[in-house]
Amino acid sequence: MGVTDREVYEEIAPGLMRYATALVGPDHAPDVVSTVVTRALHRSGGLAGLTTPKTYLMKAVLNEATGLKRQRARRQTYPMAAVPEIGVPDVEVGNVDDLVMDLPPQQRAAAYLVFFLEYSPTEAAELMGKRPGTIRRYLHLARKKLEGELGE
Amino acid sequence: MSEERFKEIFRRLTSETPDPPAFSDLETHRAKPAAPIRLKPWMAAVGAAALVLVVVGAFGLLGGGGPDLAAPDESTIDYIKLEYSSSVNLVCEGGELVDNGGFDEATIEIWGPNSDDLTLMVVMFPDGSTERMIVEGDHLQPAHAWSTVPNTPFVLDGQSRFRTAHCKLGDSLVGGIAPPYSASGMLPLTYLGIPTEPGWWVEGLESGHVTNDEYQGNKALKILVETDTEHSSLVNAAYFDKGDPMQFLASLEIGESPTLGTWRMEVAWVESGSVPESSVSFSTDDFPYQTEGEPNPVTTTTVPPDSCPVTIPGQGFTPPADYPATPSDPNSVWHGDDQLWTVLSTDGSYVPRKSVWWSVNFPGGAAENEPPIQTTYRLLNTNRDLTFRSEEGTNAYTEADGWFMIANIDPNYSGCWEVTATYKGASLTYVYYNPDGLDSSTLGIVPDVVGMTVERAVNVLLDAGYGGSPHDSEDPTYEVCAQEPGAGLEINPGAIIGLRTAPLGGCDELMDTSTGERCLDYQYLPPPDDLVGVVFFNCGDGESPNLRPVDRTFPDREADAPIFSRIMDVMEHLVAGPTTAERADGFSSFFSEESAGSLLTASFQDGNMIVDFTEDITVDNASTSNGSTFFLGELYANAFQFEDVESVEFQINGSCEAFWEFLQAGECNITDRATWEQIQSQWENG
Repeated sequence: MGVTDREVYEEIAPGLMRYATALVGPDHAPDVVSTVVTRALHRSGGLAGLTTPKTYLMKAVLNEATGLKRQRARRQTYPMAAVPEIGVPDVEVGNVDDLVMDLPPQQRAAAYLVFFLEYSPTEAAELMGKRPGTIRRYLHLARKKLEGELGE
Repeated sequence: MSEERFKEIFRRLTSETPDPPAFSDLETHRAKPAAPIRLKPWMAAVGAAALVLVVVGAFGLLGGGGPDLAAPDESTIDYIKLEYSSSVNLVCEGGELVDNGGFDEATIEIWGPNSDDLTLMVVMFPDGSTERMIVEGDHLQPAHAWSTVPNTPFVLDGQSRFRTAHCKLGDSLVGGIAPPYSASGMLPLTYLGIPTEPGWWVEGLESGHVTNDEYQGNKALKILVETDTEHSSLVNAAYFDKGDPMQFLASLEIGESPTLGTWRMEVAWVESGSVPESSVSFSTDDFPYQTEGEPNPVTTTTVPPDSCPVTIPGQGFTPPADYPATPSDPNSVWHGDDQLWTVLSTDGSYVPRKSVWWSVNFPGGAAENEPPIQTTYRLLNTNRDLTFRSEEGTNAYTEADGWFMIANIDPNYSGCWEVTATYKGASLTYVYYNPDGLDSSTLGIVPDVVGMTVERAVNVLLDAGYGGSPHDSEDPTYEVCAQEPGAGLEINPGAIIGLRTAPLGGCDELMDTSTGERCLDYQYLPPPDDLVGVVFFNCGDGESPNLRPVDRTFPDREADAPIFSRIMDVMEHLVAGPTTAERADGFSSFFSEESAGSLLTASFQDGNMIVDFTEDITVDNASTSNGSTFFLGELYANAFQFEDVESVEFQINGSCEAFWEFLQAGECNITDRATWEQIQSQWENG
């Protein structure tokens, strides 16, 4: 008997939740994961029918996070992160986190995968459906953005 | 900002990670619909050239409503009804709004595919008129298509009865001469991609492309496309990865453009279901327009100006007995004589196409893979010399038309064109008129793309005939700092245009020669034939290698060249070193004219690449500790740029040991990709 949808899900879910939390925050992460997993279950073959379920779901989470950010922007219900004045070096911890969360999802995903999970840019590219060069540039832009905001 | 700082932040953020939803809850969602969505992938795409067009999804039983259900033992086909609407709000600041005044609304119904693999599409407009089309086989490249009108609703051109509009921009946005910048769109359009499985549609939910407030309740499905004009052009198609729907969705930029306005399209599901196959007529008797192969039933009806002496072939020419007496297209005849002939429409109408030729002197098959046929295109009635020439053709064969030659592809520019072909002493000329296509007044003029985003710049260059796909241009946060050659020059479309790009606001730094980083983002737009690649050289004078790509063309390479051939191309360029211009731009290398020609051969098997050099590869100082780092770095970067290469072995005159002895590094070393990545990581970490 092959692997079941449940077994696939339970193996992937913890990491997927952390990824979603890094991308959309803890409040929205369960919705994002529920949405993408439910969709995948609707597919013919379900989760178990996916060749690379982890890659598939991570891309789906990123897309969902990107869509969520767009929706927020359109509805103008997304509270703007408290952005410090440029040149002010001492930023409170909470604000630094806000700045990271305010990065475009693609840059945030790249930073999470490479800096935190220590994937190589090539591996992160596979998980994000991008080229390695794109990942490196996302990282570059993320760094530059935060350095600019933090006055570093 | 250090990696450790990022790590610390993500550690904090993820420390609040909630527990994953229980699988049983997710499964409940799946089981909830009384009649689960049985998304039958449907789409039809019929288009001019490579433009992907209609994308329509047909959805299975949604329960209740919909057409009559078939009896369980009866052959059924799928059916879907959609409502299309669009709204246009183009600003066109500094430009001219060109609007065809077409319909903004329509009802679309689709049946099939039936047991003969036919799909019927009917579009009804608000005035009660209908347009119908039947396609056979693959919906993207139908084997055959029939239509009730010469310009079907599924063809993207100016004749559409759907609303089309575009901003024809002037100097204010683009600078110099700007091509018409299409912000137009029709129908359930290209931008939704090509869903070949149900999940593709579902993936778009709430991502801005597909919305469905009651998706989990399974009551309705609404497909929504919002696109700004700045990102809606065909360049998206260039990046469209058919195998990865999510990548495509992610590649779209949705939003409003303050300078160009918005275009919004909506396709809403009305009803769907299965119907008895016998209840739908797929007869093509009333479909006067048809085509084969790449379907484009468009026939030009615009009358050419008197100044354009379009060739009307009359009764045409009858080839010798060994050749088809008439072309496969019933509306065309042969034109020419037995030394050289082509196919033309009986009434002189013409749509840009592949330039196809027959001759009794063409042996066909492998006897002449690359026939020495040359074509010259000359734009008449202009005071500029706009002439294109091709050097050789390729062979081709169809069952209906036998062996023939493809010499070129007609330029998709408007105007009166004279085509002359020569082959083994024979010559034949005809003239056609193209009322559509790109504006020929911009042809051959390099537009100014400085200051644009890379994607926008590529759009403009594509429209002007200088096509290509730069790396990572999907990122709108990069802009073009400079271009070579600059705007306003008249050069042959297809020539290479170099772009220097930088993150927004970073051009000053990039162009500042004192930073020593001028080669940071140096790249070329490759020509359209795709016979291009990159060669990595060192950039700057850092302590560790900083390997950056420069683009090169490989005009002698076959389009489907195997990987060893491709890597040989790259290595040949590598061992010749950077060009003078590249060195002036900050590139450096151990390789130069001194080592040029030192590549012997390359082979590739099971992921392992072997590259064999002559002794000329043993350049001075490469064997020092620091030198070998840079020397090997260049070799590795160029070998491992090919994703299929898992390991690489370098040799001198067939000996791996000789190569490593030269580097004073001991015995033969076969380097795998993981090691190469570790090396790069060490460089990055100093």
